[in-house]
Amino acid sequence: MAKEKAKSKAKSKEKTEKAKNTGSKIDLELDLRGLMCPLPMVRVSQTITKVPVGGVIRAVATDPGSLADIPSWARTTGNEVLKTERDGKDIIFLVKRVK
Amino acid sequence: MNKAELKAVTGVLDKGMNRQLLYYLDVCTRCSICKDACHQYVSTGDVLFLPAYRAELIRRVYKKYFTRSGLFLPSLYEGREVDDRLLDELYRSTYACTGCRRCMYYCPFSIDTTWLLGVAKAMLIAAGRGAQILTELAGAAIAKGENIDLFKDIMLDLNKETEKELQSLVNDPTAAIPIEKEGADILYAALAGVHSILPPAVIFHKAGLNWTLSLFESSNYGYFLGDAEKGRIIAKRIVDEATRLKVKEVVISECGHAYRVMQYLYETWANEKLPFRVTAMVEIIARLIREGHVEIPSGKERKLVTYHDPCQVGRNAGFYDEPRYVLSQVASNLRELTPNREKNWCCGGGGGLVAQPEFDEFRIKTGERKAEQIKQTRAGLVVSPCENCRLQIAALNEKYDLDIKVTGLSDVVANQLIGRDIATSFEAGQAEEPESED
Ligand code: SF4
Ligand code: SF4
Repeated sequence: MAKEKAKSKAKSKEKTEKAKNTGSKIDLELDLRGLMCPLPMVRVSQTITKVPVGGVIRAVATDPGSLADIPSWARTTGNEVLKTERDGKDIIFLVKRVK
Repeated sequence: MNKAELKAVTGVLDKGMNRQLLYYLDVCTRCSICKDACHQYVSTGDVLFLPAYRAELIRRVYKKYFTRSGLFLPSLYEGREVDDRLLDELYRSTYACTGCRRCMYYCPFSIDTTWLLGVAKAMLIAAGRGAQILTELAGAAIAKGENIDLFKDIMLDLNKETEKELQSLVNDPTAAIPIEKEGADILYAALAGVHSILPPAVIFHKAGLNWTLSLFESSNYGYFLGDAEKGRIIAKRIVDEATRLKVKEVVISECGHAYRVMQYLYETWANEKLPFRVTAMVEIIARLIREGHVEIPSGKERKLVTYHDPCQVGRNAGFYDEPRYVLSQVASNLRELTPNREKNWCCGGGGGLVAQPEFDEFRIKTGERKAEQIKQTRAGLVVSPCENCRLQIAALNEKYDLDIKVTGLSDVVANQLIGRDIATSFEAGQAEEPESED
């Protein structure tokens, strides 16, 4: 069990590095894994004001509903999803605060 | 508050002034029976959460602006001006309400506080004070409907993965989760997430139904927000899909308010008749078992199980016997909460509260009655056919140390059909081993 945990921790670190190499500067990391709809979107909405305008949140969710929810939320609130990618069960969003 | 804003707020009351509103505003005798019915007032003792006082806020505005006595002698006749303080109070008392209607059940005049607070929500929206997160959630659902082609490919990809999970669960490589299947009998509107797709898919597959999965989630944040127009647009996504696919029946997932919206509200909002039958998940499971379309294997679960009547499924939709019948088929040891059915306490998370972080502490505090009820049963498994309730009860489990597992009705049935412990989780690729009972 502990071994598995350590493995998944290492994997998650590896993933973080990978996303950090996308070219966007990450201002805030948000771990939304395990949260069910609509909470991933709610947390992104709550957190977006914690980064400056132009800042980027890297959010990692596992709820598939977030794949449509977070980009749709960004559209209606005038923010921007720079990138969405899947890494196994993780769904990674780079969300930019536009206003 | 400027004149235009005031006009917008009072305009809502003016426009909505009908016999029902006047009856509710007139008839309350302030007997206070409702104070012991509302879990929020019972837990906080704060008058703001007393059902009659929530309505009183609207009544005072009505007196101030729509009665002669209130206009000229507001203090004598309890008229109250619409100002920031009033709107703050109205916001908290209105958006905190879970819409459980327990107060209405006990009120000698059946005053529907939830309905009255629908008017309050419209007033708040007119003042630009609708709950922000609910506004964003409703906006996102509408945007998803308008841009569904952007998300379709990724949703279909994900569905393939879910379909593989289904095939392995039912041990049948032909088992399918069809999407956009024209001529299907049933359109199933799930919630986002495989936990709401897999259990019904197992049941539908075992029953040999001709069904298809909706592209849209059944939940409706326009309803929680109190914006009927947004609620209509969100529900219309499913109505249009069902009409296009020519299905005969739309089955709504285990989500109390979503069923209520489609069954009882949509036709009024849209002023049109639905061309299909609307069925709640609890209803169809009971039907499939009763009519012998699915056969529950013998060997019922003997673990102590309890059932929480979701307010939107029980008090607000009348499904008390169906879920109990279904549970009686899979579990032999059901211990009821006290009180239950019409008198059951609200879990504290309805009305969209679980999605509003500003009420997080409040909903945990006001869920104490529910936590106590569950504790008294000593059951290790709580079954409830509503996502809101399950999220809230799971949160109560942590805060009040209940040592329980919470699950849905489809989950226990699907597990029984595939020979697993009824408490096994249906999360994608991470089906947990159920805990052994000592
Ligand atoms: S129980 Fe009904 S009549 Fe009595 S105070 Fe409450 S709302 Fe008014
Ligand atoms: S509907 Fe429920 S939460 Fe709302 S006032 Fe009535 S008892 Fe309280």
